[in-house]
Amino acid sequence: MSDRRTTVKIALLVAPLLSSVLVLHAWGDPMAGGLGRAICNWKYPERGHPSQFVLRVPRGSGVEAWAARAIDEFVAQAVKDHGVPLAIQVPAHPVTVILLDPDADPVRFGSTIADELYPNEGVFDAARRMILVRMERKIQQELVIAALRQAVARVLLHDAGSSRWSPWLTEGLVGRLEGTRAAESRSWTGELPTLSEILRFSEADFRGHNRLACIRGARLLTAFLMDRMPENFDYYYKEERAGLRPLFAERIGDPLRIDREWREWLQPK
Amino acid sequence: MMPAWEDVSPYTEQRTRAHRFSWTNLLIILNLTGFVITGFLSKSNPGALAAVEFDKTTAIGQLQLWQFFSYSFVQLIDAVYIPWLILGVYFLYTIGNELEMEIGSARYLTLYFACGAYGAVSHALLQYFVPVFVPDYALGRAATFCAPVLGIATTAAVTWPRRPVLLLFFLPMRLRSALIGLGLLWLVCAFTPWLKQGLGPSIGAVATALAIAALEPRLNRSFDRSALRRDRDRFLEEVDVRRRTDGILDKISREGIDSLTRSERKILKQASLILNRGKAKPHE
Repeated sequence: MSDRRTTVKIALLVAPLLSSVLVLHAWGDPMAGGLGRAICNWKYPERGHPSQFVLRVPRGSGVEAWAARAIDEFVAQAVKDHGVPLAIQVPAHPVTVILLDPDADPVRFGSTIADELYPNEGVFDAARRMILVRMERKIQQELVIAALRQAVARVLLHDAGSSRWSPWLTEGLVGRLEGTRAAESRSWTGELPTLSEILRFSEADFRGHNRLACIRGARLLTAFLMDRMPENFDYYYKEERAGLRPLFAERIGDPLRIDREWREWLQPK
Repeated sequence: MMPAWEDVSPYTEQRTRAHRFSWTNLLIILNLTGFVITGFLSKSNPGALAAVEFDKTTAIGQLQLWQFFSYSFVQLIDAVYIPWLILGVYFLYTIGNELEMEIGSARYLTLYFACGAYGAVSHALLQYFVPVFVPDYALGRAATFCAPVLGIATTAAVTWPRRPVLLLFFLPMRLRSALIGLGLLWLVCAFTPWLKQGLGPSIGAVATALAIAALEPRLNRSFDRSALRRDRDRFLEEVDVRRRTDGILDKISREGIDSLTRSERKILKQASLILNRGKAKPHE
């Protein structure tokens, strides 16, 4: 075999190997990511919707009609009931609502906060103005709507300025917008945190292992304050909205006394 | 009627020689050593094992290029894999040795490692793109010498498709049929949850061996045609120069060398070059 022939053969063997390694090194991850996004866009087409909520649901799932209706009704009801006291408005900027399959990876949609999204649970990614709700394989319409309502409530409060508020207040108002009845939460038999603990809660507490007690405590406290001392709460809320970080003791009352009254209020009638 | 082993194999005598050195035997020793070392490292130092196993994050992302070759020496420590290891070693010892003698050591080693390297590229492609389509699918590891062995086996099956072999040491079959049967068995075994072996390297290696088997003869034919064309052109040019030189030589004998025109001198010079082209220099 001539030298030239050998050289050509070796070049033909090595060149595709080297070029494929270099191509994958330079563009492997972007190509896979781009392909993943293209597949996501195909699997989750955008559904036109008259409101600011852009729905993206799995192709052929047939959930868009009731999901859109549930969002519209919830926003209209929330604005009607709480528009003036809580300064809630219909969102001025678009919000993408994605109803995920059980297997779908939220990272494909660019969200990094929805890593552990359980079935029938929703999350609002404020940075991307995106709501992600994971559905079960057998879609539970009521549970999906409940998750949607909670996530949309967070959108409405975010637009009202909740990023500047105490986390407990946001969580409590989510419950209020959702329409959680105080009587339902009162029936919970688990141990509730104290008022001082609730006032010190951070965002992480509402996502931690004890989150159910934290969420319930914040919601019950908000319901109590809005029910028993609406004027003080209104004053406190306005100052929170203005980013003034008001002191609970000054605007509403001594935490120990309020905690005692709250516990009494929690007792079944 | 299936011919006997001795009727077909041109290297039966050599096969029985125990002391002959071959690269195939060295590769067998390296792979068995790899099996033992994998056994030690998987318990005592998994980090060192990860450095030689193939993974696209390190091999391509961090350009740890040795992993394209080293991964094939990492074997699985698994009872299900042991029969495949024995089968692979037996295959290399018998047919691998014969193929090395047939095609030469350099080509054999090139084929062995090229199949391994392209198998790794194939595994990397699966690592990049399978999660896009099936996010929850756990792609197996790229390990074992199955990729290069399959590459060698494919080349042997293309070279000697009708060669008789004993499938699983007892069942007489043609080499091509045996390879297809074993390939399907490997496919099933690699997909099973106990082996957890990535199929990318095997697919890449077989595709590489088939591509080489298909393209190399075409390339050789193309080179042969090109050489033939070059020889023919040279011959025609020589004939033409000879014809024209004869007339010039007649003129020299009639009228002397000073009578030549500039173009005739040029033709003579060309003729001298062409006619001396094939002659080797005395000192070479």
